[in-house]
Amino acid sequence: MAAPVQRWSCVGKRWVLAYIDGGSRHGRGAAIGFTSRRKRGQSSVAQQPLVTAQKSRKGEHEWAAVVGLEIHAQISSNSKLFSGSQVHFAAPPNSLVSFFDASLPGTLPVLNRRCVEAAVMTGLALNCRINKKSLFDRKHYFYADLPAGYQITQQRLPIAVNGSLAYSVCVGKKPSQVSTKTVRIKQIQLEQDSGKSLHDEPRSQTLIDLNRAGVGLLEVVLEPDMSCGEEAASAVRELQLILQALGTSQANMAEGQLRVDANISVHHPGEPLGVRTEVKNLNSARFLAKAIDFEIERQIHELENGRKILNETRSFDYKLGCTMPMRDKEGKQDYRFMPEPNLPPLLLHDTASLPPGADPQQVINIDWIRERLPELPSETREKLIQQYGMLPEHSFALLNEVGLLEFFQNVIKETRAEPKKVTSWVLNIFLGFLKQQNLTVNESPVTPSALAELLNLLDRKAISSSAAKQVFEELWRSKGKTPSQIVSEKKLELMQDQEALERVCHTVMEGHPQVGVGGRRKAMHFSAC
Amino acid sequence: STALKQGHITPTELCQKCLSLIKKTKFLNAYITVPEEVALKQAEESEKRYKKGHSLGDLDGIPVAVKDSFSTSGIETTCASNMLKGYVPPYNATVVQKLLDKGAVLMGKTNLDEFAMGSGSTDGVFGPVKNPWSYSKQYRGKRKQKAHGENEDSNWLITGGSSGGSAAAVAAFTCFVALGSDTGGSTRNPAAHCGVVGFKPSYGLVSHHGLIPLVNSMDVPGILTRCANDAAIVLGMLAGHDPRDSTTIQDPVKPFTLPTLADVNKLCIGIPKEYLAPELSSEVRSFWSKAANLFESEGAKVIEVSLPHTSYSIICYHVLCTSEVASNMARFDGLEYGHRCDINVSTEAMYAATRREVFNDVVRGRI
Repeated sequence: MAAPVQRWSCVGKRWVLAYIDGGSRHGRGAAIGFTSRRKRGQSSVAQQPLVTAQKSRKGEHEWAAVVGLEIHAQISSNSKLFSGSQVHFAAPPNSLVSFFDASLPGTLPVLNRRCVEAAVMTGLALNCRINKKSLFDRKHYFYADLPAGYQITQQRLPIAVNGSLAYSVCVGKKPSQVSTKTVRIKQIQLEQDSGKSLHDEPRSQTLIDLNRAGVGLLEVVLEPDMSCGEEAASAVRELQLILQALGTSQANMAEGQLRVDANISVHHPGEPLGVRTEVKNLNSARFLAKAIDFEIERQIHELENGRKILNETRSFDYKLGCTMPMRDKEGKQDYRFMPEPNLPPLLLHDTASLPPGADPQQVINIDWIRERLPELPSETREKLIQQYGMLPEHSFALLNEVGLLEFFQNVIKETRAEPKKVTSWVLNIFLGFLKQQNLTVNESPVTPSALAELLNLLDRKAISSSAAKQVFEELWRSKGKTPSQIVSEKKLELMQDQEALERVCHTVMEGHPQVGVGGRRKAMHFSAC
Repeated sequence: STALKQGHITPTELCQKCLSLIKKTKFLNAYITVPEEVALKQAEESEKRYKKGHSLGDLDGIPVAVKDSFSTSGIETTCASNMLKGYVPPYNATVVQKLLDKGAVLMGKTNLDEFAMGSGSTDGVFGPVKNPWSYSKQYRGKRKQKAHGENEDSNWLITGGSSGGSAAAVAAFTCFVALGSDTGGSTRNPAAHCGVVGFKPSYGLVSHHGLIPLVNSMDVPGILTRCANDAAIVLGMLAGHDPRDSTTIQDPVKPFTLPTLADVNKLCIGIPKEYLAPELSSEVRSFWSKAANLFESEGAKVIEVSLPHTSYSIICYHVLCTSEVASNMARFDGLEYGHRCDINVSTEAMYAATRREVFNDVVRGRI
């Protein structure tokens, strides 16, 4: 419909319609925009005469969006959840399939200990209550990449419940304006991954690769406490960092080790929640926020136009930048959940409840795992802030890039320069170069030692900061040379000798008599810095 | 086994005798697959062991039969269904492996109701199994009295089911031990019909890995033999924890032998009163009383006991059975193994057509 350009912006939890081209506010807005929008059936806002429409505009159009997430993380383990076949990325198709994975009749599931430990570790890191007794269930649906016709999951009584995940979002324009939010975790459950379907449209066939079938997954269910794409993306990012710190999952979205489904609905504040849609298989951190925001906008748009939201499943089309209904998932699915009869209840122990004389291979002690939990990202960041007086946003940035923290710490070890200087160099210059050339920290031509040496030169004022940047560029380009070598090659040393300096200044001034007193001072300053 | 150990007969001779008997009793339709070459080879190996004095035990060289719902590596396993016709598993069920490890000679895979659903062994795609007692003098005598010029072929007795083939194989002397399965009586029922011993172990005692499941939470492998002692020996070999089956008990199973029961004074036998159902035939009731009286007269204590939930059991069984069956049958889609129909339109169409083609009415009914 013809309407002035509008954009929904996420301010806290409320969606407020803000007109962008202010010019038309007094012109077209009232006549075209509002009267047609009155058609939404479910609104509690009474019809307003045109004259007063403009005044109450902001209040009427307040929408609140509610976003919940279901995140599937592939457990980092040698073998699958219920069978002994190996877990590898990009192996030849159907080369990692055991009899059980292929659903040969008569085969039975046997639980993988490492996967259970991974689930307990993750539950503890996310402040969950670990259920000492959890159960396995079958979730039935027919699909070519699900050989058994059912997935083994934990629907009734999962391994961990009632946790929380803290993440930060920018609340203002400046990067320093961050605030911490929390999202509740409903549960964490163990379940099997399905195989992969490759649709071969030209030959009207689908190719099935069962390498992934049966790989252990941790499903982390986040309650609908988030309100926009950015919050969801931040929460996912923090979860990724936690999983990677624990070692329970590599959580690499590009390799499919972390997949996100979002449940999205909108409503007017104060009114009950709206109908939700599910947007499935968001596999890219970049598009996660985009997809969610698009869906929120779409729902608001539909409701504004008097249409209803269908409780359906949608997918995100990256090329078109929009969500589309998924063809095979129309209508409500009855999964016919049933207890998995081949797996007895999973019993975990703590130190107090360990049965005497128990075989250590057959029992899992929650307390033992808790004592050995690695340092979590939030703790690491806090330490950086305490130890180096670092700004919070810098601690986030250091942890956000794979290997960057280690690089930073290695530089710190070998340099006398102030930590703030190191932080600045690593985050601005070093990271800047990496990003420009699309390299990872591991691929960097500059080693921590080299940067440390450079910073030492800078620290003793052997070179100026602009010279240091030149040296850095040279270090990046040519491998094998040390900063000192480059400095002497390019004669970038600062002159330390006072008398020699004065002689140079005099020479310069004599050559340029028009430069006055102020200029002299400036010139002297220039060469001394 | 004593005869084998003492050399009165060799395993190969025994195997050949059983094989020829199988051929002679083909009309019973007890066997679906008889891998003659494999059996003879196993017998040969057994013979070598006996010659060296290294027999593997009581089961070495003994002909056994296995119900066609157990996976046997390299030997077709069909579950009497078109779905698995031509399906050759790549692994042995745990109980099959245990028998083979003890030197047993596999005579063949026995007939059953399709996917073990049924209690007559009449509903498999290979046709019904006939009870060997149909050809006994007594029964023939009865038939002659009743029938006038009726086709002899159509007048036969069922074996009961679903492990009818196994029971018939044992009763016909074509093997000494047969494996059946028992969910709701599928070993005990045909054992009773064919006059052999049918033993159902407690769930969790014997591994069901490799047994193509009907109801995972109730299925157990069953043992059919001609006498109770043989069943005890076989149970001793099969029982115990299996790391491939998470439902088997962890505690180690102590080997045991059946006591010679000369003195029944210390036995206390319970007669469940709820089993005296109105539907019970008078013939069965009288034999039941006879057995109870026999024990009592020999000094055992025979008392009435109550199993109060008996009347609910069949209803619970039906609910659990049909749910698990629908679940266990979900894997049969023709994609990874087994029969697949030619429909190419869509995955759903292929699944639906394949499953309609291969499942019989009983199976589809339960799903």
